[in-house]
Amino acid sequence: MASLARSLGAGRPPLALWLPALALAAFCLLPPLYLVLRAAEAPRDALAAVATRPTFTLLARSLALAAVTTALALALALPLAWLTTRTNLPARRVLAVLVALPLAIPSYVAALVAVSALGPRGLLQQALERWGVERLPSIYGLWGTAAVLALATYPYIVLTLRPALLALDPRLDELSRGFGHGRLHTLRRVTLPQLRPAIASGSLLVALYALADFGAPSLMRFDSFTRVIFVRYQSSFERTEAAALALLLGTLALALVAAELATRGRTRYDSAHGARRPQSPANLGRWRWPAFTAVLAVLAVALVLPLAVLGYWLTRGVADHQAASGLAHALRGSLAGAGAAAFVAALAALPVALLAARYPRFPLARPIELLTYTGAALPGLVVALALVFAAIRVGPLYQSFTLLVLAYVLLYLPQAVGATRIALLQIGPSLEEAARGLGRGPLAVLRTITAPLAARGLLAGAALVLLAALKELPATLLLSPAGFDTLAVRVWSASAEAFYARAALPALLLVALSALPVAASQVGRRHGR
Amino acid sequence: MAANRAAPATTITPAVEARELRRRFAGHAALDGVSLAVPPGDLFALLGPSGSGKTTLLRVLAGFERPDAGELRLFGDLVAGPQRFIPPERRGVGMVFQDYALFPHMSVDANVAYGLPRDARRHGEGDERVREVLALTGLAGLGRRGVHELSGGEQQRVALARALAPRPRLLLLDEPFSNLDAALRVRVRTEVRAIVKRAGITAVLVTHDQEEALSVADHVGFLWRGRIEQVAPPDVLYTQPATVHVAEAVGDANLLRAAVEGGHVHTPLGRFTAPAGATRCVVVVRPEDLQAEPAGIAGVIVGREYYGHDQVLHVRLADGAEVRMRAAPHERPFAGGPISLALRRQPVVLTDE
Repeated sequence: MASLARSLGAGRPPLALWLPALALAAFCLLPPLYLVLRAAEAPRDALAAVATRPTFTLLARSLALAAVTTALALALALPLAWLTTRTNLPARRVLAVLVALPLAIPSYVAALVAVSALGPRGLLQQALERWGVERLPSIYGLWGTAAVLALATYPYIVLTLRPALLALDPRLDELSRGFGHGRLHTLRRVTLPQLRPAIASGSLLVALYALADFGAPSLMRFDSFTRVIFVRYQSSFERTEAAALALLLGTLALALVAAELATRGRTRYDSAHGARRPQSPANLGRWRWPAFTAVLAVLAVALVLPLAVLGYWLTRGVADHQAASGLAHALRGSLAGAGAAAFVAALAALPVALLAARYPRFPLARPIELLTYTGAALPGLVVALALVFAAIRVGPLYQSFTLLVLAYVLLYLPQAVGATRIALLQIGPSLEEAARGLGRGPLAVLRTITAPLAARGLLAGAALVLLAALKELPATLLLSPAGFDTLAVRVWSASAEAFYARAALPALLLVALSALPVAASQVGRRHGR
Repeated sequence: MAANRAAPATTITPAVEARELRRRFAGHAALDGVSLAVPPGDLFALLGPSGSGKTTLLRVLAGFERPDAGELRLFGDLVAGPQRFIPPERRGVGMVFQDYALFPHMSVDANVAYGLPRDARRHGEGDERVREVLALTGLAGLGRRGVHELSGGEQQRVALARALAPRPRLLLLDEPFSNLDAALRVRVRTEVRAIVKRAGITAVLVTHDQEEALSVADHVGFLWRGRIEQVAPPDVLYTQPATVHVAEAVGDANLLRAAVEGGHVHTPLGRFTAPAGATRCVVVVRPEDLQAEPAGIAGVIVGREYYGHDQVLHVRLADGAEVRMRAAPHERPFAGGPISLALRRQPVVLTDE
């Protein structure tokens, strides 16, 4: 205790703080390490599995999916972001919140909607049958998958672009126009370069999502990395191949994350010096209502259509008495798994966040924080696969509830760390010093001052982890103990077997739960924190 | 260097005794060998411009910073040294922070009781002590309030009450009045002095406000770039500054620089004896050291600042040098008019650095 107090007084973190944080960081590094080990076990097999023609085709397909998805999402997001931040669009503030809400629709739910509405024997085809339409153009494959993913992910670009748009200094535009440059020239040479970091950052998020997503490609029958890895894994004699492919996908994802971090590092939201005049919104003139209609059209496809289709299947399910079959069991499973993950993640985040917020000069603080992001940077399927391989080795953990919770924690820990860190940063360090000066030791200060004041942040972090874990599909599919069911798994298996009526209620529940934090963050933003 | 004209008798153990304290931050020496002795019962002000190291010194006294070198004793006990570091919670030191650092999730009572020993908090004695310090700080009856419901001055006194409650040996105050508006500041600092004196406690106060230091403290220590330049009672610090920095920073002064010739310096205001060994000197003339005198040195009034309780005239002397002199508020000099002036008393002559 004496040495602990001593080092705290000296501005260095106590062992009791940094050792658990370091252990956690090491744990976060386990999955990728284990994948490498597993691939290295039979290097020839692994290499043979990877260095083949099909692998390159696979790589090309996944990259194409990421590229097309990003392009489509950009095409949606750029005009939407501008219209909802810098113009006199009707109902702009409401639309600004709505435009972000598709984030709440998990990709596999979006895919379920697309397949059940527009696929073979889907709602549209059934509706058109009486006019003799027997087949619709196929929605499976690259374009369908990319379209579904783009509609689900374009809000990432809108959200990163919005602060950049708000930070644009209107004086710079005026300056350029004043020099006699036209509107287009000004847009190209002055406005867009200022937005480039935000666009790059948002696009990389979308690309990463498309690359890592498992649900949409699986339901849309597009052989991307994730789908192929899952299929190989299920045919148990191809597991080395699955590991090798997962390693390749993980590497690709980490490269994208590194690129994203690099662009974010250069983004500055408050570039201008001097007093900034409040910006006057651009006047859309006679394009005001056409623009409004266009935004509504996007919302109709991205938000209303999924809800309407799910609503339709729900009524069908209710009529067939299928809607709620097994739902209670799945809900219990979801809450148990995600709840346990939220609790563990909040506890685990505390030392990491304390280190990052209170001892930023401690040389290990930054590396530890970065390492806890490993799990989140890797696709859920890759982390889950690594844990499966590791657990088969260890034995008792395989297909245990504990392992599933550990996977959730690995995947969503950064959300808890982030929320806790912000809460801690808002508590002035002088409060803790005042408590120390009044004769209380470091642990008593943590208990009586820091913890109660950071409680809201901790809870918010736990809630974020809870909601994210509720939605998690591939890790749940791979790691669930026998007889364990969750809402996400239920949606997925019902959709895969075309029992859409059974999928509707759990899907709607998931959407409603996911909408909470998205809506909260949007409304919070408007009230100007 | 440090002309400690009011050195405490060496037989009494000082409340604070610092020897050659050093602390570096990223290559910059915040404390560059600070030695200091504060007699028990003293209200001691650490005065210095921002960045002079005064807050770092206070944090070293509290135990929030560990010195890189040097020794610190509180009431004779070694609390920081090469082999020893006593953490803040075991130093028996109370601290009042610049932002008060009141615990926002607690009532006034709970804030004040926070530092009391566990037994006292469990049993009734704690409540009594809380009532006692709240009465001492003029907060009786406010104990139930949340700290957000208090005015700035009241929050300041809660911070003081909280620091005093555990009966610390030493009270540290970090810029305690800087968050109060000007009118309140003067009243509160007089009150705080009275409270500290009534509690009979040794206190060290950090401030960059010279008026605050001079009006509140028994002794003032002047810090400049991590070093103590002078420790003295306020009047001595003002009338007999030991260094040019002190003369410049404490009060208004005309600094007349000149080379030494034959043991003397020649300035527009006359010839003065130079300190031994000096080649260049600074003659420190306070504006109130000058007065109008018919047979004095001739000059022209070129400007004036009127303050109400007095005024400062800018006078250009024959050789072009400009000096500032204080005059009574009812005098009505006219700009451009002639004036002749003389020194009221012998000025301080310092070696120029």
